[in-house]
Amino acid sequence: MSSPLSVSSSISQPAASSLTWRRLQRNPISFAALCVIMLIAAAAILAPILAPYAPDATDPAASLQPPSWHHALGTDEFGRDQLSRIIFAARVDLLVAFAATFVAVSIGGLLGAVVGYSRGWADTIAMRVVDALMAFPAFVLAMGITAGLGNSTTNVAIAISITQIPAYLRLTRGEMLRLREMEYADAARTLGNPTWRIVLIHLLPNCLPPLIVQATLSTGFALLTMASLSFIGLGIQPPQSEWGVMTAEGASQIVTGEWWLFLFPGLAIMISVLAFNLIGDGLRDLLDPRMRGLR
Amino acid sequence: MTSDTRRREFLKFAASSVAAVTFTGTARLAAAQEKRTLTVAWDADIDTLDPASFKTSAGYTVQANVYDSPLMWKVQPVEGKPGVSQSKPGEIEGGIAQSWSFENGGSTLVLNIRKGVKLPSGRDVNATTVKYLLDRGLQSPGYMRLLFPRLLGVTKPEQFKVRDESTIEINMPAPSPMALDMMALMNNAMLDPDEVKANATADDAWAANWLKRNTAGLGPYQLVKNQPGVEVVLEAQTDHWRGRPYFDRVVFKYVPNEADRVLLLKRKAIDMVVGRSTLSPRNVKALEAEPGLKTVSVPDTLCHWLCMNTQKAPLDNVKVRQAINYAIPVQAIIPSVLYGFGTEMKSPVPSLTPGYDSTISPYKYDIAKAKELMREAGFGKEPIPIDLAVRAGWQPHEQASVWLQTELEKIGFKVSIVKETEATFRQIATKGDHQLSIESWQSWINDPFYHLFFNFHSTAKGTNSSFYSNPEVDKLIDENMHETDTSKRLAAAKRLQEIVIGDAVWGHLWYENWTRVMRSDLVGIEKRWDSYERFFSMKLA
Amino acid sequence: MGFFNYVMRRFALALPTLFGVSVICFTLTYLLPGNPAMVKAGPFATPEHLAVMEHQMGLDRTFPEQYYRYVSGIFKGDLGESASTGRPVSLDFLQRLPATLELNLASLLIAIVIGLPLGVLSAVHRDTLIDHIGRVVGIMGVAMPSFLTGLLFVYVFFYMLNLAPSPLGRLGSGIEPPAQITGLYVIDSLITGNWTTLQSSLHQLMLPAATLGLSAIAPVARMVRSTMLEILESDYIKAAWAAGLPARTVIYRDALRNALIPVITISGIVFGFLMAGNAVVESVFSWPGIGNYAVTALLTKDSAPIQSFILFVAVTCVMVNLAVDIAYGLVDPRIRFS
Repeated sequence: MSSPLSVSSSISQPAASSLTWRRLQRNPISFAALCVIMLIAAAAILAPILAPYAPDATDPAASLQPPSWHHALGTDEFGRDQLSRIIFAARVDLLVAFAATFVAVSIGGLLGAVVGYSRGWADTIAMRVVDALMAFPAFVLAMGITAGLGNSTTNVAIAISITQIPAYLRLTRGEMLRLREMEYADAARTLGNPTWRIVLIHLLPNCLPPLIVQATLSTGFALLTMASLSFIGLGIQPPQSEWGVMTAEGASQIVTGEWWLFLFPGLAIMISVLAFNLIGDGLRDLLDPRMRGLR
Repeated sequence: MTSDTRRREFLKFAASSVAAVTFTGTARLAAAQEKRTLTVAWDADIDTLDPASFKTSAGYTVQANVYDSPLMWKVQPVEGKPGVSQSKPGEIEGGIAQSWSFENGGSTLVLNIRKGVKLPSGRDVNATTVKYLLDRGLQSPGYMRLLFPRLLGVTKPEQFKVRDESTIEINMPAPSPMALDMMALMNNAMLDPDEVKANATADDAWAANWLKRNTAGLGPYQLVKNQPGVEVVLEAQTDHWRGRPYFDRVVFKYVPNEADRVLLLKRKAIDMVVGRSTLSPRNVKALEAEPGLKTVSVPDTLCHWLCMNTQKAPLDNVKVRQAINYAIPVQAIIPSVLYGFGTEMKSPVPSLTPGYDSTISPYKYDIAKAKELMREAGFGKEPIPIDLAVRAGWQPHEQASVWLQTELEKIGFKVSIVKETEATFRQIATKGDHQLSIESWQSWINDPFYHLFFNFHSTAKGTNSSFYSNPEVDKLIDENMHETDTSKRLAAAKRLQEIVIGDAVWGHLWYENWTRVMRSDLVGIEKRWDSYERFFSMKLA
Repeated sequence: MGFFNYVMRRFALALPTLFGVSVICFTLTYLLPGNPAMVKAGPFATPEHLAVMEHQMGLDRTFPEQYYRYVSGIFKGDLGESASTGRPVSLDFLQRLPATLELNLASLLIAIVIGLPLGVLSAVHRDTLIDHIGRVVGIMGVAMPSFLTGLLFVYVFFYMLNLAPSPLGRLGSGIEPPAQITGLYVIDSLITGNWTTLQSSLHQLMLPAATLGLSAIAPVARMVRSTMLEILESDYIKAAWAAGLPARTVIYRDALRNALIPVITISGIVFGFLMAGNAVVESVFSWPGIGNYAVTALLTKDSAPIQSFILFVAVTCVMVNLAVDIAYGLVDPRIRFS
């Protein structure tokens, strides 16, 4: 059953990562995007050094100030420095996005590899569950799960993760169905390797390229999901500053003229999502020009 | 190639005509414009219109305009605010009942029904129809059947007695100082008994299901359209006993997003935003400067406080609760969170309520004192982790929680702010699982004992949000709830405030003003204790 | 195997998916915190009254029993009652669904009208500046949180420039809806020749559809681009090049025509994608659709509408996928035998 939502299976032999890197450099936009993400990640890691203020330090005397020398990106109604909050927020945002994606790739990839290799009834059941889960648009599912579990940082990450698992599962399973028939898989079996070894060591690594592409795109969308959840009141809670919450709160005050409150965190989201998408696109072209997908 | 060319031509044509249609059409249609229409925005749907049940603000607002109650709270012009009137403690005027009197030393309330008032069906309103609405309130599932026994001691329908065609008596076991206020509650809405009975079913004798979505009464307005998520339309009754309202139609537009409500006001696409917390204080402040709009803000009985669960450690320690009260930066919160649309809370009793005493509370922002109290309570070495729950989307509460967090961390707490959806918040609160939370309450019956009972009596389950239990308080409330000697009652109210403040049951935050933004020529704004807008008095200057 | 058999087989395959969807949907609402009986009974309900309500709503039963009640209710067209509107959810849904469909279809149209040429351009000029700009522009649309785009649109086009009407739902004030045929105001007013209503409904639709459509341009463009790339690499196009046909003919007649087939797929997927996005956009524009309804319900723990929304969206996606599969079977007979 070919659902159009899945990233269709691809060729992609074990690709030398150095080659990938060199070819990525030839795609200037994707390369620039990669640099942007690295910069943001660096800022997140070095937040305590880079941020001019403590992110939660309130200062009633300096509330709602527009950007100035003292506060490069202005302050919010508590007098908290926007720049510092945005830098610290990068930690929460990237951590949640990466963690959710990593967990989803691990679970989805492993399960997909196992059911794809073993086939049989486990495969049938898994695919029915995946079909059912994929029928829910990611945001709707995330909304339901966050409302059910409560909107702590962990729960938002869990919700985002659950929405991603089916895509990885289906992707890996598709790859595995193809790879298990390859000659080198036969060779590994003939040599008497245990099944787990064949799946994990010999075959799974070759499923990775399409997974990586999907994961890059998903990481970007995780940021958007967080933002939209914040807008409907299910976002990550204070005091952790998070771009989505900051944008949503700022946007509700769009009319009072404090443009810096929504513009800068909104830009942070936009630039990150853009970058993740461009990297994903670049990787996709590189690893398999015929791959297509959504999300 | 020809087919391609044709297709392209068609697309070009289609695109240009769509553009023409969409961009030129700002002209408003004249239909229904001759009628004087007031367009307002709100953010809620009507959950039920059953007068006897408790409902959303949208349900109450419509009910307050499509029904009449036996009595009404009287309003007086607010000094310095032309076009605005407000109710005063103890002042009542006639409604369906033109006048009233007390007999049997105050334990019988006699209502004299207004003559010549007709139901929509053409039948006259008389004592029997009034008895029906009271009977229904007492017996149908809802809110009134809790209030009648508690406030008036009325438990049986026989206590509502028809004396003659235009007189009904309410026989209470003892005089009640709240009897008149009770008759002003719009939950006691004048219904057409025949219409209600016609829609009753075997297992729904009071037609509660039918009355959820239908109205059967007479008010200044009639409900002509209720489309959830779109709009609600009221049309004026031309022959209402109050006279014909100025506005022939009131259109309520459902606008869930606050930024949109502000922009609609600024663009004058709506005349007013109705409902509580439909505009954040910050947006109201920004709209104050807007030409063509005005802000009406008058003191109200709406209390907001830091709720401390007195059954949960460390909040079961009175010294900790006192320390928290000394750590509340209310002077910073009022300007920065409420933008001045509220006043400092100095007592658990609202400032407009009889018996309010602002001199009892010793609390003021004093971190040194708070730290000392925490030390006395045996805390201060290890940070105490504590949750502070607020409702998502209640902007002043969310903002106040950040101020509170900063200050409480100075005196030894490690505060996690927990944002909950309205439904989750209520459920956790009822179960008693909140530690700290920001609560709010408004007493529609502006009486200190009504207020104190629901918030501090140990038997007031579901509304005593601090789970406070003090036999002395219970006893004082029980003894004075129905006390008719005013000076004795006020003395007891003072004593109760002393105890409750001494026990630091609430973390005092603020009394919120009743604040609405509207077009600047709108006058006849009447604010009653229940705070729902009445449109029959509004007009353009 | 005939085409009929193929369709039946696809239907049969969709059944377990639908079963799974109903289980997930029910579990989600079952897990939501908050007691629906308490929501319905109101804050001053007595414990006895609450118990009666719980019994009436079947909340005192076991999980499988409640699930059975829920599913059998769906088959009877009973989706429960909404606590916040006091009406049957099926009625609310019927009134709101056309609004959502209209918005989604308009957005889909915008996404395809912009995304298709963008994708073709990117593919034809692969790895050139045009490709890069095209991709960045497309992704920009999706990278902005849609509530921010929407609010900015309202601020600029309604408030500052006064080009757009009030963000107050589907029709301007005083305009009566057209006679109900499809429920889509634009279509219905076209059919009945009601030009004032047509004008007003298009006017109101403009901003929300643009907001939602923006978020779908990138997926459309991306898929068109990769399909085009694939086709441009294919043997028959290479043959066409070799035959010396002019570039325009090769690209726009041969390649694009073949690339249009996947547009069916794209439309299907994007439609599901938009279903999720509308929850936020509808709220920004006071659009009386089901997304707005679901968000409100979620915040007030009004379980029946939430269940119905999630179920509806999921079933729509299953059906759209099914339709896409069947469409493919029609176009490409080989698939029927796979």
